[in-house]
Amino acid sequence: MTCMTRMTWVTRMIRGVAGVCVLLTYVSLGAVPAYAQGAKLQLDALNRFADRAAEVVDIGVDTTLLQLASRLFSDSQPDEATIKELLSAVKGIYVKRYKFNADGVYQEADVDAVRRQLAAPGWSRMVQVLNKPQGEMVEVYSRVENGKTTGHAIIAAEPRELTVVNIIGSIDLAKLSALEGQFGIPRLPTGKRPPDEEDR
Amino acid sequence: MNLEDLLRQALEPPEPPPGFAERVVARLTDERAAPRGGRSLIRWLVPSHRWLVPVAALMLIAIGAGRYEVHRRAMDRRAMEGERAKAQVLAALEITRDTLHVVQRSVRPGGGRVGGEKGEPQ
Repeated sequence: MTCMTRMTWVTRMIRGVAGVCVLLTYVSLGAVPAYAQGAKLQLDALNRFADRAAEVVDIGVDTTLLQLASRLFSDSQPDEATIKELLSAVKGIYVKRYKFNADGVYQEADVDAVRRQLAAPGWSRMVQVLNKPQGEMVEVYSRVENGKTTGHAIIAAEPRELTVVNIIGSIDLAKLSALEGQFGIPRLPTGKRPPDEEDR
Repeated sequence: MNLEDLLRQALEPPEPPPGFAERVVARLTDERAAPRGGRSLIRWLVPSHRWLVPVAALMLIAIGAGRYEVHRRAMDRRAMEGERAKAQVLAALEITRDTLHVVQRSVRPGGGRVGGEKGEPQ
């Protein structure tokens, strides 16, 4: 009888320790994605528009690729040196852009799904541009953590176009915007022209 | 027998066995006539395994060339990946810049409604 009681006690102890271990594992595994997510947005839900879009741009440059690319920007050429400097504090760039042949392919709820992530602590909306008659919307967000900018996000929605940009790390958006005509790469068919060109 | 005789007898060198001198001379003559073999790798290779030397050299050259080719291909692949990454970065920056230009355009008078800061109603 005493032996049985002792066995039960040992079994309970083992179960208790195992339960604590499982709980700790669960908590740690659950905490990792939340921590790792940081300024990186979960944009996989937008992939379903790829089949319905007339034009898709899906770019994902992580830290490794960015470091690889940064080495190829020349310091001696001013344009490339500027880009290299811009990228110095960037840890990743993720862009998704879908152009459609018809209106209403994506819904407001799809944009809201991205916006909800930007409601997390640290994110602040810097600019919102609404052009209701034309159904256009652009929002620029930045994420600040301990006084340091750790990410940027841009959502641009038009009736037939949806663009989401997610930059991990810090980049001087004003300087990037001023880089017009200095990239030396073929223009992508964005359908938009920079203000300088429009003024001409 | 006095002590002097005993000492002389004890210190007297022993006589070599019969034929000792002839055997020593014969051994010396044999060693000079025939070279010693099997003591070193080079001597072991010569002359029957001499062909192994160029074969080994060729194998070393082939292995070196192979390793260089693998290294060169890895470098080429890395360079290609880098170029692709660079193009992606530039494309991403261009899209970002173009989107920012939309904001700039809208900020100008008559461009649209400009809001800001977190928590504002949509």
